[in-house]
Amino acid sequence: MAIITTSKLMPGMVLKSAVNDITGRLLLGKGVEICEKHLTIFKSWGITEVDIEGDVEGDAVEEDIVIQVDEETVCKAREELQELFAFTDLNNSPVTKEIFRLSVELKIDRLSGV
Amino acid sequence: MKKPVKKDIQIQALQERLDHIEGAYKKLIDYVSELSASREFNKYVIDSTDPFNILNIGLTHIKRLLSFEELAFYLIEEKDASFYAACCEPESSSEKLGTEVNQCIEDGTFAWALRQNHPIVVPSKLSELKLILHVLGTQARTRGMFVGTIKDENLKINDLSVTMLSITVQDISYSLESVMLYQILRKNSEEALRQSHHKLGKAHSDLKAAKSQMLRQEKMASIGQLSAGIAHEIKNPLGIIVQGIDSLKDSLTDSLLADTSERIKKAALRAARIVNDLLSFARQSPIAPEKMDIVSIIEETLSLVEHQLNLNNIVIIRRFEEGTLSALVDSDQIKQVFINVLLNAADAMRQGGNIEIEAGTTVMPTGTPAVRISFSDNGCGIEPENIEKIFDPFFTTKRDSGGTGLGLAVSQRIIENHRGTITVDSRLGEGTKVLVTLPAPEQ
Amino acid sequence: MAIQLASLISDNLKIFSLPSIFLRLDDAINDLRSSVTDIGNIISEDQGLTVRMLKLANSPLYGFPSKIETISKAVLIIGTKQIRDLTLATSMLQVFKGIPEDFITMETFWRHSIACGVIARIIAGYRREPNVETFFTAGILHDIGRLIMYTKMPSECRNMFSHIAKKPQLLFKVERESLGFNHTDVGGLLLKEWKLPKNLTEAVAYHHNPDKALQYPVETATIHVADILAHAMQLGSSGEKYIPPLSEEAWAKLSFQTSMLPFLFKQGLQHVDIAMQIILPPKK
Repeated sequence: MAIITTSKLMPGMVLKSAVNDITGRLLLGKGVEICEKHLTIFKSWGITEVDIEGDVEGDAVEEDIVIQVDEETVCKAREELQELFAFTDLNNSPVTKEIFRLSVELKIDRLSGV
Repeated sequence: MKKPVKKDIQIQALQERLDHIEGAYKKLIDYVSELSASREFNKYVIDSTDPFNILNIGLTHIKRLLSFEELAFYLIEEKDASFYAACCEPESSSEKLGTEVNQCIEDGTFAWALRQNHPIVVPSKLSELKLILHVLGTQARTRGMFVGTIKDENLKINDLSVTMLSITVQDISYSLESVMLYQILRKNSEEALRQSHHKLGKAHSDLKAAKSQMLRQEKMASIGQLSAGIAHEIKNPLGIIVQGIDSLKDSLTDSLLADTSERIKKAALRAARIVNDLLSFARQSPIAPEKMDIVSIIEETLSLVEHQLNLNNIVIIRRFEEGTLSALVDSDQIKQVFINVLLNAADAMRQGGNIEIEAGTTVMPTGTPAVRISFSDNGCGIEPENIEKIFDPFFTTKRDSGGTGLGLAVSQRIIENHRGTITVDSRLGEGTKVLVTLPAPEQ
Repeated sequence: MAIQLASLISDNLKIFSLPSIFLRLDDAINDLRSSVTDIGNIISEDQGLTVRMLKLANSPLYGFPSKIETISKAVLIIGTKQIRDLTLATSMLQVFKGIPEDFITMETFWRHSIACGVIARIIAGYRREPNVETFFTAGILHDIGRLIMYTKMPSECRNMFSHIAKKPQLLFKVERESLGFNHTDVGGLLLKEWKLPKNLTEAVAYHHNPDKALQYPVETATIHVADILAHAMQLGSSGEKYIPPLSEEAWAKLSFQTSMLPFLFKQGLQHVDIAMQIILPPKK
């Protein structure tokens, strides 16, 4: 599986995951084989990355860098942010919960030097 | 010399101001008329249910805002999310515009314009013209793109033209949105309509069947009530006639008179019998079922009629299964049924014959255990065209001999009340078989 | 209290005044006779402004596929109203120069303000608002009241901070408790005196109680949410340590899906850095 930029896309490749635009609208379903027309469609919608089946050689591949994070960093980030969220409705508001989760992730990235 | 110069400058300034105000006023008039034209446009668009109609009207209106060379609306193909030219002004320019659009797609301007919500002006790569792009979409969904080419000198892009173009395109987007929704709704409701049509048809035929069933039952009920009423009314005068004849008989010496009075009495008695039959037909006697041995009921019935049958040379043949055959029955009413069947059989064999009575266990179609009793005679049989009528009330082939036509109707009613079945099988010249099934008591 | 608030503004209007270039741009745009060229010319008079505008226009904040070399082209592509709003937004830093940095550094303050502006802009863009720069401007201006308070009421502010150090509280609530008004009132009043459009004024005045915004609830809701996100992402600060609570009604008004939040975080971070670079270049 590989995520490649659309500039490197070639006809014949097969989509591993569905392609959506920024609002979540489905453009092409997974398993579709790419043809010339599809390249135009991606350009029309401003799609920059797609996930395709199989391995691609060399520098076409941009893999997600996975960093090992240790318990301590996670706890530290959590604690710090929990304090800041003291006056929010963290327990009852799903939106606030999601914001909290993302902010913890961000803190972890920062503490890990990403 | 300063004073006059100052005055001139003041006048000059005032004149400039006046020109400015006049110019602005003229522009305002222009814009107000544009706005009122847009109201007309809105009215058309709101009433329209055809997306292409909306787009065409839209293009016409937009041309009045700015002097475009060519303009078109591109829509999104649902199946592969590609863009296609839905309508174009003038028609002949679709290829040219198509090239411009492809160029925009290639260099990313198109995708960029898709994300903005105001008109984008870019120089055309293929000519000296400017290209204007404006996304067609609502917050919910992107629907397409407006594309137009315009000469530089016609490009009066200032605040209000931009706003007007934006408003018009947004109006079109919202109309498209509601038209699409309307079409989806219609498609769904058409499907729902078709299904409910089908259900309706079935319900209609069910209703018809139920109705005729109800009519029959009503008829039966009213006949019943009528019968009971009439029967009671008739019973009295009949009683008087019979009693009267009896008292007269003693004083009669003339043989002719005696014969006549005898016949009157017989007729009265027959009438009384009819009345009784009617009454029992009308009577909705509730059954009081008990667990009974069906064989003993048959034997009790036979004891009532066998003597009379023997007088007519009718032989009873018994074929009963081993063991006790229990059924859940009201013995009086079941006896009434058996008597009726036996008398019918006897009527069919005036010269004599056999009645074979079989009894045994069976199972109902629903699976409940039951008892079956069959009466088979070798009499004259029933005409095929009469078989389906034999259970009808008042149907009889024996009117001359005093038949009321109610016997089998009553019997059928009694059997149905017992949740049993009664069927008749007959062959002309060979005989008739009446089969009764009655539910057995639950173990 | 009302007198204190009113005098706080009126006494200081001379110091905190709108840049003249913005006023001229506004006039030009409202003048039915002006053209794109006219507008471009006004901007070109200010070298710093021109550079900032072009940098912004060519940045990922716009993501325009080819280079925008001239101001007129920028005006065409970005839009005249938008250019006007951007001018206001980016000129604010000049208006509030020379603020003492006892409570907060200017860099920290503007980082938070720009973050709010950038995030509000992204939300508005997603919602297909015709003029996203209004939201950008409102975001940058949302805590401006605090700058005035730090400058003109330093001792009161010091008290408030020591209160909070002893017992954790939301600063904007302490403001109201001790003074009878808070920074949103100050900001709102200033914008009103500046005769800025009501959508900006309301959004700033009610960003901590968005339900009170009667005429522009959506704009206000956007700034309210953007402010909270800027806090959550820990991008600078205007003095508030704790994250303000989210109004569920305000969130609902935006019809913004929770699933879009990761995208918002990602793009927000990217854009904040770029905007900071262009609007407030780091001191060398």
